[in-house]
Amino acid sequence: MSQAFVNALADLEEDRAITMAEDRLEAGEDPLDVLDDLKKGMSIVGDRYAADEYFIPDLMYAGEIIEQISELLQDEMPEQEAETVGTVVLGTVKDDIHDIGKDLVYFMFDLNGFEVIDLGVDVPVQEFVDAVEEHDPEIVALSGFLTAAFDSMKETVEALEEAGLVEEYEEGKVRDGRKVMIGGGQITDDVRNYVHADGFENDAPAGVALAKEWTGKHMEA
Amino acid sequence: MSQKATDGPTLESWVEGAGIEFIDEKAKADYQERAQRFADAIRGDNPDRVPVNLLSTFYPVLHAGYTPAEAMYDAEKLQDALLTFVDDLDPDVFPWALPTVPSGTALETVGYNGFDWPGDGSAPETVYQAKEREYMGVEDYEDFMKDPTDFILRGYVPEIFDSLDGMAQFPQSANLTCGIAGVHPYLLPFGMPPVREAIENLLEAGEQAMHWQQVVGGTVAEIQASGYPQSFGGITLAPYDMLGDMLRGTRGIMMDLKRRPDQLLEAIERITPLAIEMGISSSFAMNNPLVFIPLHKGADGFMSGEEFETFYWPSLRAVIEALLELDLVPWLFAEGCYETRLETISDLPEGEMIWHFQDIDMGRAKDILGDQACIAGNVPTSLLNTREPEAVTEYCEDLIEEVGTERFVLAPGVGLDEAKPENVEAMFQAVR
Repeated sequence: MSQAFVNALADLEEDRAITMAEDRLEAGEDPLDVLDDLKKGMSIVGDRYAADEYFIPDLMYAGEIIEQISELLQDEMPEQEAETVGTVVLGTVKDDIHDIGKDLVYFMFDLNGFEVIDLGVDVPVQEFVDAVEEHDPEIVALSGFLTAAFDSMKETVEALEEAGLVEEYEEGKVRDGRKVMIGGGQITDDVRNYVHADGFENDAPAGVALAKEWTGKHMEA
Repeated sequence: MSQKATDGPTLESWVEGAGIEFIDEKAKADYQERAQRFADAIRGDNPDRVPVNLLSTFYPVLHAGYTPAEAMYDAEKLQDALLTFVDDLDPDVFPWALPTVPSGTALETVGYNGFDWPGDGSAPETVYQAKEREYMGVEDYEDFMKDPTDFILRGYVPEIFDSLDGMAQFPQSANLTCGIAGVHPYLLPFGMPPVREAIENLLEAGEQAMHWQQVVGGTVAEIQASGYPQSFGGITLAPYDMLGDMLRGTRGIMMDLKRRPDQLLEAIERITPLAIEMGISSSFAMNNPLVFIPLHKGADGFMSGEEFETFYWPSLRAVIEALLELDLVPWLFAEGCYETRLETISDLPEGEMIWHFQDIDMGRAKDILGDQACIAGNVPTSLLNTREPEAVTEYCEDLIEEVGTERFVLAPGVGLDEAKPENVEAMFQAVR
């Protein structure tokens, strides 16, 4: 492990981190070790974000740095099966194209060991249904910023219920099996109940914490 | 800047209804009573009750049973919606402005691609979506810095309007300083087909906008003349948002914050006089002292506290100060959460203004800003959309209990689109 490299990543020193990654690969180091450090550095970034030391621009910047280093690593790395703590199907719902919140959720979930299937923005109801059938996730995460998203979320959950992919909603009760999480700037518990979701959060680290709680329970069940 | 304070609208002239041709004396008296209530609330001058300002974009349209697309493509339907809205709710102020719902046809004529709108990109029953592309690239900073207005005219306009490509070949106005030798180079581009096409499209869109103004603007004037003061006057933005919203985009400006902070700061300084001028000229054109300033990219989470104090607040404060110098009334609308910004923004220049919040501890906001500004907000859309009227009444009553009746305006937390009409009614009734 290179502590200096991990620090450069954690401190978002773009040029320095990339040069160091290049140097290590050129020196013949195992790309998996570099990847390991990349994860360590980004894990610190995630912690700082959760602690309100970093903010959205910092995470976006981190995303850019990850992308560049991943590109360097890609050519030299063997395919690997990553272990996951759970699978999440994620998307911004129909009639809403806001992507920042969703991308932060992706970043934080990915960082915390979830496999995230990102369906993008303005995702039609049927696309969620198909993706849930295909990927069998523990959690369906619906993102939306606009008021219009409330109804799209509701329709999406209804379609999942109709397809038998989530249990029927009961007020005051969290589903036993697959769960639905919603998030966005205007989301409150009223909206959660309206949408028939099992939980809601307004920021990505809290979403991760809730997902971990859920998947813990899920595995016990 | 040539305007003097005495030339322009003030809270006093607005309360009087200066320039409005009222339909009768009763309408004038009603107008003045409503405007006085609002002005008293702003000044903390013992209003007869808390006023409601139902800041709205598409709510009146949805309230009247039309889709937003119908409203954007049929001026008569929009006209009917506005009249129905006022008739049904008898609001304290008319909380809507024509530019927020422009003619969809005119937007199509110029090929506006900054937003999707209902009927063009967005579903007919939904609302706007800002596309937030990097209309101004990193490489454009230098041109922008040299001459922002020239860059906007010849660099930005062709990017954001698909049918105005030809504006890229528009002549530089500086040519005209070359005496007679400057005239030919100035005129020549107007002989070129792409420039001519752009101008033809502008002429057509201008006619469509004029029709919109006559029908919809006429209705707004009629509503005022029947006794309802308009709470929208001018508009401007925080300089950081001016760059971030429509020039660099959210991602673009966030990366600038990290990768080229010095250049960004310089650009913010460069654009600040334009933000000031936009607020003043739009307010003067509307003859209304309220200058709406929606705040976007400085909310909690969007930057650190230190970045807010460096990149966002000083230039916004300069805008506020310049507006106050002319006795205009800035109406700061803090979208998103503003909890961590309160202490910073409490360093305010002196003068009447409104701070309207979406997501904040309103009691704390009142404690920190209440001596200097009127606060407004923050009935959540989640409540207005998903709950029953009783819950709305309870929320509004609790809120007023918490913040008091002085220097407070009851308002939704966002510019309202969808909401249950019975919940909106409950909000109006909560203060009556």
